[in-house]
Amino acid sequence: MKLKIQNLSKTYPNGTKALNGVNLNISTGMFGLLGPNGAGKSSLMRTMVTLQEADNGTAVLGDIDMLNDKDELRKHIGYLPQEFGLYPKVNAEMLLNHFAALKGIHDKQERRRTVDELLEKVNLSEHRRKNLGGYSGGMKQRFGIAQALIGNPRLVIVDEPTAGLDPQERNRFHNILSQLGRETIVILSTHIVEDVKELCTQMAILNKGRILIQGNPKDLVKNMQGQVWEKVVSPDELEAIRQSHQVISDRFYDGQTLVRIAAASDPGNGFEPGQAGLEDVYFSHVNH
Amino acid sequence: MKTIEIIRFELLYRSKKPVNYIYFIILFVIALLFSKLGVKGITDVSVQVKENAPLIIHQLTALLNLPLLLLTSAIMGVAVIRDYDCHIEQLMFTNPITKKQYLTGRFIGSFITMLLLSLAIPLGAIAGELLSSKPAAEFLPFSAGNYFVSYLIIVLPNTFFLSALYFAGGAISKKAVVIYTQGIVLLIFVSIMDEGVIETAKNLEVATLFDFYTLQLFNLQTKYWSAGEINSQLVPITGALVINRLIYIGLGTLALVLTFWRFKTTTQAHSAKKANR
Ligand SMILES: Nc1ncnc2c1ncn2[C@@H]1O[C@H](COP(=O)(O)OP(=O)(O)OP(=O)(O)O)[C@@H](O)[C@H]1O
Ligand SMILES: [Mg+2]
Repeated sequence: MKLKIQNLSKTYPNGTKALNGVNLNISTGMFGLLGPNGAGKSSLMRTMVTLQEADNGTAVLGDIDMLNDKDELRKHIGYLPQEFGLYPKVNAEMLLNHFAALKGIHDKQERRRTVDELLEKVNLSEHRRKNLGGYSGGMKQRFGIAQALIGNPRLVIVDEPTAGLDPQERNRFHNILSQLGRETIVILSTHIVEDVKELCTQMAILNKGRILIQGNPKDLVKNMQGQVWEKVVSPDELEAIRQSHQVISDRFYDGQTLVRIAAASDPGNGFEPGQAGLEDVYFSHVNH
Repeated sequence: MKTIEIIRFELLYRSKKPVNYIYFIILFVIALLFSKLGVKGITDVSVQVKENAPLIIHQLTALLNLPLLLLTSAIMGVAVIRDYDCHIEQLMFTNPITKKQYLTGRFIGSFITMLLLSLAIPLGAIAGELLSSKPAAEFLPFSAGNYFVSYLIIVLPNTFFLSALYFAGGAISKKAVVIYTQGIVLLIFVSIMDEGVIETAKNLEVATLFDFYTLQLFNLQTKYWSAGEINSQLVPITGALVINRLIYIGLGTLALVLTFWRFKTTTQAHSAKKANR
């Protein structure tokens, strides 16, 4: 299965250019979409799941034209929005059953099985009869995950899925996604670099509506190896370094600052070689 | 199949709301009280006319239709807006359902809810007659059918008409204020039409074709009836009545067609960052 996005653009009515010629090639597996707040991650995802029209460009999933053949596409996608609500007076089982029917699982027995399995998967079995209005933020999020997985979609798009999950549930969810990524395309947006490093075999960095770089996280890190340098400096020095070097990141530590810069060769001046990580890849692109 | 599921869920959803049962009880009690007191007193018919003459029942039903219509905006307006209020629309519209299935299911499910509520009118009115403390000589033999005939003539088409309009308003605007405003304006409009415009119209025959409650239309047709006729005749189903009802059913249908045409499942991202649980 391949997902191919070409030259996708979207400008909101208020003039915000949220997507600016996005190109992406995604194959089966976990794909991490990394970017700062306002980068356009959600806009891109909403466009891919038929919720929003693009101004320009094409998006194709296998042989489905994602932007025009919405009815067909919806049969094959699961989507977890960044923010959503649920009917407060309905319980998890009822709503999940409803969604399963809408996804096309018409057989009652099969639907019940699906609902049971999914509730088990996201660890909500014991709260299945509880009204959704009484769910905590994390439980609600897990319900959202469950509904995104109904009917084994070919493409699963999850927008900052682990926001609000405790470490245990986050782990659990990462395992679900990894398993899913063996057979389907899973696109995960986040600004947590760590998540992408742990989970994804493909990634892209999005900033201001543009894709800055796309590739395999390990390769991207490897390419950066030997180009990261670090040094502990005072705040005054930091300003000077900002002028003369490409600063990747600076971390405040015990009254001093650990600054990391990108340079093709030894910048001298007391800089030590640093171990490159995915964070360096991210910051060197986003702060550029 | 999916339309049926949407209807099923809509009914399930409505049945979970205690307020709907309260609406039914209130309507039932209002109907019972008005019927028990009798509306003959407020109409200018002769004393020989029986309390439960078909025409009197018709007038009672028209009167009772009013509180139901106030409810229509509360029930029908939210049928679609609810998804936006609950902020669940993104989950809903990434399901493989068509706009047609969604709207049809929501409308039918909500309209069935309205119909179930509306049954409080004939049932309450019947209970009122049976519980009446007036002497039996004031009554014709009890006939439930008369209550349901008037129900079918007045309540059903009127409820459909307003249901369709509120549904359209909610689905197209996706804003609750629109429905409330629309609700007040519409009700005032049809009521003024009935009281003022039609009564003073030059051509009553034509004007009564638009008579929302059908009261003026029947007044016109039964103006010269004797008390004996009123007691013995069923409410007359005339060509004018059929045209009148078709006009309102037609307008309602038009509102639904407009909804199917204008409604969009694509939305802009919510700017409000507060997810409503
Ligand atoms: N409905 C809208 N109308 C106008 N502008 C919008 C709308 N939705 C998003 N934007 C703007 O588009 C840009 C991209 O927003 P988007 O939500 O796609 O970013 P994001 O990468 O998902 O950010 P975050 O990490 O905060 O979720 C932002 O500048 C945002 O303010
Ligand atoms: Mg976002």
